[in-house]
Amino acid sequence: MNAWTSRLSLRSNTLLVQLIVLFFILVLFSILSPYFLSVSNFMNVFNQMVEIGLIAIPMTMIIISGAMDLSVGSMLAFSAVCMGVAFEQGLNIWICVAIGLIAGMLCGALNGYLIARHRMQAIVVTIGMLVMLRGLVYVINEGRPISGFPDGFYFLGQQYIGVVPFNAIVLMIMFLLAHFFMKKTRFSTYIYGIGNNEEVVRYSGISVVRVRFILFVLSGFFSALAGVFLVSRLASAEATSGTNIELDVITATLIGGTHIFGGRGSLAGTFVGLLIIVFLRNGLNLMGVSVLYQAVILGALLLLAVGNQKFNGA
Amino acid sequence: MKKMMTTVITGVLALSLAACGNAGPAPANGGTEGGASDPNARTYFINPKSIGPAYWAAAEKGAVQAGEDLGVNILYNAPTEADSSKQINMIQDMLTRQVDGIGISPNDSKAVGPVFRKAIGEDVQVVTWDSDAPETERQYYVAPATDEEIGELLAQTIGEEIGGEGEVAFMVAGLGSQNQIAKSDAAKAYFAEHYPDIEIVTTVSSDDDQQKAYANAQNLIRTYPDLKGIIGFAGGEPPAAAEVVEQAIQAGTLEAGQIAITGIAVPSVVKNYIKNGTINTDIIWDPGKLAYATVYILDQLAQGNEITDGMEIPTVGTVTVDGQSVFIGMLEVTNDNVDSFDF
Amino acid sequence: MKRLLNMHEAPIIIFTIIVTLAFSLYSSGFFGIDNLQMILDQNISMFIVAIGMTMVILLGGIDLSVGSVLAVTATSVGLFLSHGIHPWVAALMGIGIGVLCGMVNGFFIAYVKIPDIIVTLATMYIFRGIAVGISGGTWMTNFPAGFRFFGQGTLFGLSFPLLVAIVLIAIFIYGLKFSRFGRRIYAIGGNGPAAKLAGISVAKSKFKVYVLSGLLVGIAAVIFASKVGSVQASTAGNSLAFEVMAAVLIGGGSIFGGIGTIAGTMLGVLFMGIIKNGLIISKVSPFWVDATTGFLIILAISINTLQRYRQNKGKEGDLV
Repeated sequence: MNAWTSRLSLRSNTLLVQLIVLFFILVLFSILSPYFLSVSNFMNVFNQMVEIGLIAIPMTMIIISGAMDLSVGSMLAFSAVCMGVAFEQGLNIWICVAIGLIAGMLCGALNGYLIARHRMQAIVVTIGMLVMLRGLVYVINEGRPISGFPDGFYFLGQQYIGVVPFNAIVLMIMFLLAHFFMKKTRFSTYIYGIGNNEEVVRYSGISVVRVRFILFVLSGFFSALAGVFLVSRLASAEATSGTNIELDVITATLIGGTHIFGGRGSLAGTFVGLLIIVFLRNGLNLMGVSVLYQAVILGALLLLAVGNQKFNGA
Repeated sequence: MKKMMTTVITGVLALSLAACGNAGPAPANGGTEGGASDPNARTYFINPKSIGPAYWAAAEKGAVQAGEDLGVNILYNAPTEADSSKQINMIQDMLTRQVDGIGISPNDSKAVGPVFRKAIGEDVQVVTWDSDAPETERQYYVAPATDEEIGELLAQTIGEEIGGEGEVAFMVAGLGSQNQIAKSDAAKAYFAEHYPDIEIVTTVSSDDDQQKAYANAQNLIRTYPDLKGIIGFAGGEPPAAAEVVEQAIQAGTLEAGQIAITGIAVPSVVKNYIKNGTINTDIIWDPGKLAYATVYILDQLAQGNEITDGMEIPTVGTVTVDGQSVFIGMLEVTNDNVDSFDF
Repeated sequence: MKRLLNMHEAPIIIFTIIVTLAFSLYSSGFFGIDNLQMILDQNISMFIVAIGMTMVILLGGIDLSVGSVLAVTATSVGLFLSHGIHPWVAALMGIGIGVLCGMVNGFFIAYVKIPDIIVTLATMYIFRGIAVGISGGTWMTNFPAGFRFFGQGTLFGLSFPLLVAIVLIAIFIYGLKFSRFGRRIYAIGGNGPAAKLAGISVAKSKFKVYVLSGLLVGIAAVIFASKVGSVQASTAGNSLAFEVMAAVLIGGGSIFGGIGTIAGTMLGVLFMGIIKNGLIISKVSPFWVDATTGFLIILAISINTLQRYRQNKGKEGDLV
């Protein structure tokens, strides 16, 4: 992991900044807490960051394209609960997983349809979806958590392969794939292009509508996937899951150097940003620091880490 | 070069910030490391549902007090919102820290199963408090009473106050929260059995937002002009309902005593409403004693002692032990005793 | 000018009327002066905060921290009161704290030039932490009787907070439309670089707008504390930022700045208030309330966007 990130850091100065911050945090907590620097703690952290990490992948792409998706937490809960309800109907668990994923993609498609096709403002549409889907979750299961899934399903979120949690491996593979995708494919050029100058992309004969639509469907899919992993990890599908997860995801993305106005950013940066916030939280937890101070520290770090970038025309 | 400088500054500031967070004065709520400073003493992690509400702040004082009395370290912390996945992440972090026992008030009774199994496997004592997780491997559950008993007591109180008939509305903190569902279901069942003439018109949820609870109460009074009673199932609901009713009485749209209110609320928050007679009876237990008992039970378990029915817990008193549940008892707050509580 | 304005707010007006009619038909208790009064009363803080948010969004910015600023201000007012400070002084000091928070936001945004969303996301965390920190985890409650005036008092037979809101709305509508400062906001939001070339100090205007936003949130917080009667620092104003933003955008504002009016925003707030009140009064199942609210928000914004898209096809069609 270090090999490929450091290779990149030579090309991207921003990433270097983020890596140094991460390094500081790791060293700091290793000194301050005797429990921090251990394989089991690191694996524990990796296990915990999977949901935020999965959603951060499409979020990075969407922010690069100059939009934003605030409905991810609700989509996560909606797919999780759809999956749970399907399971209660006696369906095979893997069919239920598929149903959950499809439900997420449908939500994403609705977002995409309204935002891409009808040019509605992404923030408002996704706020609306945030409220509506969270409400639908309560309609579907009346707020009662669903549990009792078969043991085979818990493999996704609770099993370790060697010392590494299975879900963290999935996250790594997803990040590598997405990273490759963002570096090598033409589609990613469109994403950056739309973020920089949508008109030029359109006049180049590329369907901006389609690119945006695909991005929001992806967001729905990854949110649903995160929902599946969360249910597996917690052994329970809850109506409240994923509340405020969008803030964590956006914070990770921004600390990772993605430009809030679009056009710039990288998945490698997001990954480092993600590591920064999860290790920060873990380290502060280990030291017994109150979550109130954690919130203040996270806020200050966000200002400091992101604040030193240049924002043209901002 | 400039960038490097800013980087370094960022890092240094992050360092000092984090250090401040640790070295700063112990906050009045959340994140305190109370009790003995002896590093070899046993350490317990006491975990409420969330940090912020007055109820949990009162509990923290009890936990810290127990830590001092018993000579053990107490870590009291939770996420800022009652979110189950964040709570479980924090429990996992604490297991990494190798605490000797955890006292958890689970946001989701099922979701804590795996992490409890892991804790038991690592020889960590596991006790739930305030909210239970009956289908897990937790050793004991410390509570004032069962959710059913609390719900029934609330239903009984309001049933008596309104004379056994009329419309009653429920106000809850969250439609999806397990302990709210259990309590309101029990109240519903109690009405069905004992007061068939009481009709539950609706259940409104505030999502723990005071302003929303306030607006909910206003809408209730407007929507159901014949409403006779309101039960608030969480700490924020009864004061909001009482405030709205008092304002309506002042505005002349409601007669005093037309709507009876009861619920679960910390005495200090509803003191004025009880004195004004807007709330006649409020059900509560001392969250500090609850947390104290939790720490005490954990410490007994860690020492290999048995938990027996009728055992005496210092400052808390005699407790009832029923199977794996430890009950410390409820309190009824009325105009006569409201000034005697210090939480 | 007037016609253009009418056109701009037409969709939301029509949709609000349709929703009102639907609720009135569905529930007898909905249509009436006293219920309207109650809806206004419940949303006073929203109205006031939304004025500031409109200006921020007009500038092309965004303020996620309003809920946390509200919590800080309301909590500190509660603290002042519990120390026996006179209600009027406590309220003024609280508003001062709101202004201070606005200055912090404004400083980082206008002078350090960090994007609005990042600064306010960060201060959202920071102010919330401070609010809960100073509250010591307890509720601010049992306010003295004199303090009730701000949220519940009457002046000239009208509700005092409503009067405050009306005066503020009138001042800012006038100010945005006719003062130089107001025109600058539109100019900057419409085309920042051009405004800069025209000799407008973008930084100064931005700073001012955030300070004003802080001031308004401060006023709203005092009314909030007095009206609700108790403040819980960890949750007060939790969803305020999203709700107010939605109201601004439903009222015809554009997240990219330069477009929107305070009148439109007020209609947006009213619309959201009507939905929340109407759904409960119509005795809709509690499980359906949020789902329906979200659906109506999306519907409102759809109608808005489609209308605007049709009207200004050439001008604005390229915006997302």
